[in-house]
Amino acid sequence: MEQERINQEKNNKEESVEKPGILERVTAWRAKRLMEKDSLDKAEQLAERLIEKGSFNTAEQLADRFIDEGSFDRAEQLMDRLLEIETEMKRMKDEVRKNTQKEIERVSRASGNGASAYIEKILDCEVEGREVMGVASKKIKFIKRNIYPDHRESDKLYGSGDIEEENNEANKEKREREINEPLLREAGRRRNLILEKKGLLELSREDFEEYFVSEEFDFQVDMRQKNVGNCYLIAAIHAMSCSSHFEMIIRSSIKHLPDKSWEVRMPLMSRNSEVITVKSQDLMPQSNENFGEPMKWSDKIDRREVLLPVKAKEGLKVLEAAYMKYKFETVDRLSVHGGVSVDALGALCGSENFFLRTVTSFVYDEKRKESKGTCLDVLSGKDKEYLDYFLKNFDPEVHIAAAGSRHIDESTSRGRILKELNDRKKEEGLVYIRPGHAYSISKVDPENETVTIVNPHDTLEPIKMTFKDFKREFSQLSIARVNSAKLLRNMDTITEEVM
Amino acid sequence: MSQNDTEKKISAHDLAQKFEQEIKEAIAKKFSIDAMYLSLLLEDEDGAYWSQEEPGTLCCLVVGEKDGHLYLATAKMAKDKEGLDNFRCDVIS
Repeated sequence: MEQERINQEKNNKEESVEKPGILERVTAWRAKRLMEKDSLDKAEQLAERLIEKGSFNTAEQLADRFIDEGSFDRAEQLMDRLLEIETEMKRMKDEVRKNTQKEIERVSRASGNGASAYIEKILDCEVEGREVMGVASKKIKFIKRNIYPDHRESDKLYGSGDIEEENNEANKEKREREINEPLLREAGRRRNLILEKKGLLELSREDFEEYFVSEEFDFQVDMRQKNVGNCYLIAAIHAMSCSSHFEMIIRSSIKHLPDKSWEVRMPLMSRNSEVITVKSQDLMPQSNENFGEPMKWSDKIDRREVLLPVKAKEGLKVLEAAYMKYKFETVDRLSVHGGVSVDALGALCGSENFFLRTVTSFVYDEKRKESKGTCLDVLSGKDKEYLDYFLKNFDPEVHIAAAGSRHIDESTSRGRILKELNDRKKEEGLVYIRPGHAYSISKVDPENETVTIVNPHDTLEPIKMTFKDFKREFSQLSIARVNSAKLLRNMDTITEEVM
Repeated sequence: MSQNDTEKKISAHDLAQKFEQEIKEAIAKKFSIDAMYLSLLLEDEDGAYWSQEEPGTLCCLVVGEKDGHLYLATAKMAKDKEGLDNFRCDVIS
């Protein structure tokens, strides 16, 4: 009976809060009238007020208007503000939800069922809006004051909450380097010597330098994704190439045969790997069977007569082909379209010698081969902690990382506005992040709070951005970290087996 | 290899083994991990060595069995030439 009463009250509450209040409706009407009279400054003030009340339509309309008039900066500022408030509201909601169960139990013990039922009703309510948050926060304050007058006790309940210790990596502060760079580099060389002596390096150093890296670019890897939608794979390969382990990974996993074909162990460096043979014809452009037909993931007609491999040195093309053969049993440049870097890193690195981790705020639609989501800025809890830890502690000696940019849904008004702003950035040569695209991470500077990312379209042109912009533009992060303990043990086993 | 190098080579491993506890404790303290899960790479020729970059510095590679990290621990030869002091450590990979 009690539960039925609560459900009924919840439904009534939802209905009453779904429509904006009278004040918001009047304000929105006034803003609209001001826009019609070209008083955009005043309209902007009202839009700002409405944003804070959780009403976003007016702001979107005004942003549209700014774009029409060429005031892109104002449009962008408005959208940023909108996103900021929305993010904050989501975070507040998550914070309240996080402590739900514990609060209910504790409050029930202290004050009986009345207060707990009220909290349940609020937190079960799916309606967005500051009013709900305001009510929830007032009630929680009331409970804190009256039921837990000792605020230190209530802070334990309502503060940052119980941060679980199971992922210690995310809770550690960045450790200052105690040992100077020359000693660290020397140790890295010693480590490679150990691995060389333990493992079987099937590819000579000369072949590695000839087929994988470019001396003219200071031994960096030069890759350019062409007309196949496998940015996630190219980004993963490039991210691996930024690691100091790249040479060791490649030389211990790939063999160049006398007939010029290649043998690749997938996952790389793994004992339980599958040997993939890649021949020269696997590296050639492919005739597109879908030419002239609608694309599977959009309504556009596929105008690509030929599907091209990545533009890169032969060894990197071999890696691309080996991945496709591993996944699809054949080099299928149509099937490889669309994916996420964590899958590519997982296939390339495997879990035998690497820790794999992903943080994401998006949902991947397998059917449409696209992601839908917001941005890393809305993360909370352990994911947020890990993201912050990663940004403070990224080390190319340790981490191999790639990120996926947020998808823009052009079927919504917000999406159309964001796309127009994005297109404008591209035209003006500003930092432009392609939506729904994968990038590798080559560097993080925690002091200046910048991230350097690399577009698979041209890996020799890195892009630097602030932490804030990175969290806004990206919705997914994939990280692989070498497990040195396992690697060294596995290398021992390989040597024993061979002997 | 000269006799000096040979002696240095043996000494590096011997010294690292002798000060295994101090090395592990330095890493455990800095990185808040259990020393029980640290292993010095003394079975490998290159697991402990005298640095060529910084003379008089002993270097030892240590594996974290639980977290998978490879650490570098360094120490300076003490003034009495019999011990080590000034222990430092960092993550290599």
